[in-house]
Amino acid sequence: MKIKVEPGKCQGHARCASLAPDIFKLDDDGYIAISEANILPDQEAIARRVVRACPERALVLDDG
Amino acid sequence: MSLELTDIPSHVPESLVQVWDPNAASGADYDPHAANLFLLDGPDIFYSPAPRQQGETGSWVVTRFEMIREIFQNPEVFSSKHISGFSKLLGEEWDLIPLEKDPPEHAQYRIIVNPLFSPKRINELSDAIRENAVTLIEGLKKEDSFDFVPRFAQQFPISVVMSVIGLDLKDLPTWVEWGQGLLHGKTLEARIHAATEIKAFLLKEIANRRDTPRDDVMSKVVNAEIKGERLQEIEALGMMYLIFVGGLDTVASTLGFMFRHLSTHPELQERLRNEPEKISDALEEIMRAHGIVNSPRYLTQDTEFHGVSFKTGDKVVLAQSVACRDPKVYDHPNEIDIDRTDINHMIFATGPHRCMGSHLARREMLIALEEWMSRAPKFLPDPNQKAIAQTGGVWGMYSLPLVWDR
Repeated sequence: MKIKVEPGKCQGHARCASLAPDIFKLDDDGYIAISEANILPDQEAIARRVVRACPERALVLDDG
Repeated sequence: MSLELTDIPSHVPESLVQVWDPNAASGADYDPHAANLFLLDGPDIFYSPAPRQQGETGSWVVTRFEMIREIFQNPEVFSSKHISGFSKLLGEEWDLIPLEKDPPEHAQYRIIVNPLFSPKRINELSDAIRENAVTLIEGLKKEDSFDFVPRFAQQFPISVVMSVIGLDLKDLPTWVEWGQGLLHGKTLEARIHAATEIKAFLLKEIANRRDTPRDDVMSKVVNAEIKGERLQEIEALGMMYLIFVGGLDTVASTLGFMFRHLSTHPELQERLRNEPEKISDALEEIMRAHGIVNSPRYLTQDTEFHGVSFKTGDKVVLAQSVACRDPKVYDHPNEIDIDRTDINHMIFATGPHRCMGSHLARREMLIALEEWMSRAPKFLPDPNQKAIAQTGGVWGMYSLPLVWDR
């Protein structure tokens, strides 16, 4: 499973890095610093939660 | 106090007119969120000729979560120019920055403030914030009863913000008084008086730091440059005015609602004492259900929006306070359920104007909860005194008398 970050949608809420700091890295200003992340099987539950928690809906699950 | 209704624009259909005064609903003087939930049984969008405060106009009101997100994320159509009305109170026209600047101009100011309030910067401030909370809590433990609002909800975040900005803590009571006047003033005169005093105070402090910069946020802001040119004085004022207002009443108001809920739900206090890892979820969930700001926007063009015709210049108020309890988005929306795994709220707005102080606000409240749960005994509402809420520019608790249960 992968999570993709929709370009330009991040507004720096940092909910993702707060819930799953190992997966989501932020830049110095607090905006997302990655464009996609590979999700390990034991990270799937928290990854799904992070996708729902993003107030901008900037994160998209790619199950393929 | 009821406010005089304003004229209804001719393009507003009569069927969409509904007077909304958040303070008039029964029970709003204790729990304004519950008292105003009726909005979610009504139309998605309506026009209220009632101004939020004297001196303002009526407006459209949007009550549903997804519509509000759509508006926040579309600043080209829904502008935040002039939304605070603070400079207008003075008969002037300058912007709160970056809030009242629209993209693309907005970004060049946002770049200045982002690093000053980034998660990384807030991490560096955490120890000092915690020390401040601990001192206040230990002081309160020596008393039998106390009003949580002045003694902690205001004292704690306002002293944090004043230290960060670089201001003398002796002015704290004056700040509180100005904030109350500006955001909750009962008369137009009271609001104008507060707006005037704040401006004069900030201009003096700005001038000092433009002459001799110090190691504080205000010096960094007022000496910042855009394309090699130092900010103009009016831009520096607009930025500092926003930091002042943003830091003054918002965390204080949210803490008031949060501790009202905890004081009436001692079983939740007990759980958070035993499971401190749930405190962060509790914070998000209590915030979700207690939005304190209902942000306005102005139409930059005629727009059809979910079946309603908005015209250029129309004002739209986004009822975040109730929309984060929208049953289309949340199961059992009116229950505080810290085990939700789908908490997603717009208490800090969405879109480019996402609250620039959100990381500081969250950290302050997280630390407050951690320290209260780890070092304070159980607390309950004072049975002999009444808790009082207020609406207006920011919804909050005006008074929250508590007693220790020990």
